[in-house]
Amino acid sequence: MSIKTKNHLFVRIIFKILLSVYLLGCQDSSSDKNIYMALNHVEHVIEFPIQFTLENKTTPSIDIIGIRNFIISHDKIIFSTTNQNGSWSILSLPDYHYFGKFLNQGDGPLEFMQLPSAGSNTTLIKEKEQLVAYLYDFQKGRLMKFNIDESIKSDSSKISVLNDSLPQFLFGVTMIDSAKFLGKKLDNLETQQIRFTYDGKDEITSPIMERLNMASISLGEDFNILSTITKYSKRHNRIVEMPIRLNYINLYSLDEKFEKTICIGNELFNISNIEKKKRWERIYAFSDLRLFDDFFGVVFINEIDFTYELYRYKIPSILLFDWDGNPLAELKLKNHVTSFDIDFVNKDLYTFDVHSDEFFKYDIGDILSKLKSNKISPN
Amino acid sequence: MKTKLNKIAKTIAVGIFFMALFFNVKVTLEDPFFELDNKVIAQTSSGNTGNTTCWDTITYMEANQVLYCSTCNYVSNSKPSFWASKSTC
Repeated sequence: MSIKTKNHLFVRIIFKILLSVYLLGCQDSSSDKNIYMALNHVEHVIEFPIQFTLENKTTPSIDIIGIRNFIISHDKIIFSTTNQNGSWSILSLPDYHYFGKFLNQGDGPLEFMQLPSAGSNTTLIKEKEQLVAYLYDFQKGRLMKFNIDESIKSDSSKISVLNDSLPQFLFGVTMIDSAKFLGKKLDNLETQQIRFTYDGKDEITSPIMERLNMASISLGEDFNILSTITKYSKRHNRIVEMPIRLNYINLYSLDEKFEKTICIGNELFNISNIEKKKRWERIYAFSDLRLFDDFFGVVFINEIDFTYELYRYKIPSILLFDWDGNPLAELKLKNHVTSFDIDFVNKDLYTFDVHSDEFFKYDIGDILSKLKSNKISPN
Repeated sequence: MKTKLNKIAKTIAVGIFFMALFFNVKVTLEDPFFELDNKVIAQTSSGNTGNTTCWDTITYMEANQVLYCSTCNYVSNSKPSFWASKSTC
């Protein structure tokens, strides 16, 4: 072999080594990090097919202080409050007859160190013609069953412990059935929120959940970037995950047959970009989620924390989607809200704003009729 | 002439090789320390008695959690308030 050929060979080997080193370098840390908590199928919603403006509000005559949020179930409206001696106030609809207040704060066997919210980590269902709430005791890691109808009858909290050995401080505990729930736990040095279903024996993570579990934040960052309000529709076998800080909603089935990410706007929020922003420059995207028989709705805030806390420039809207994740309607508001719900029997929509304590009622009979005529048939 | 070019190319290639090696070794040396640090944090943060960031004042925010400094406990449905400052638990 001549010297020239040897030199060429040497230079080629060196360049090949350099190329390999470069390519290996490309696979390093930051590019591995998952910056989207989204599913494989993403659909962007730029406009809603119908827009309604909610007008002619009335103020229901209720006398409850310290309300955090509320939920409507059948003929009852339940307010979760900061009252330590009866956190949940329950009233009838549509006449607001006061049934009483239940669930106490304390260290007793059937008390809560931290009061449960009606808005998240709570599942309300009818069991044997009785309205019951499955509650997660955040501080003690317990799953509790609160019989609402029995409690009203006896004027005392009828509550029992279903499981007292769950992990503490879980995110998003959502009942799938009376024995199985979907939970999220912080993991990997608080950089990930790991979804799993638990049936009392095994923790199972489906491939769809694994995909969402990959989303991560940097060490020491605010893990609430990944926080969601998660609810389950038994009728449709669909999980809805509404992040608080991201501009998209994940909709998927437990049998892996359906998955969709609904993005509000042209671009999915990138977790890595959120981390680059200061705490008060981060977007507060969604505040509440409600599931109904034929659609679900979210409160879309879409304002950075700084202006939201000080000025509240943007008026939120309520966005409705069908169970395939298609946009149905945007309900525009003229006042601020943080939670909402619908009384389908009386065709009223209620809103509550935790910052101003304003509680309003809107007659949405016409809106429901129009949605029905667009092949959506609410309850 | 060609030999000179070859020498220059060789020198440049070797130079780039060592530069690349230097930068990559630097990266791979940082990672083990990073991992070690993580392990130390993991061991010390159990029961919130390590270096976990906490906040001194908190306010309501549904579905969020925050580590509250006065109790060194996670508080559900909360976020750090506007003027909150950080500490460790």
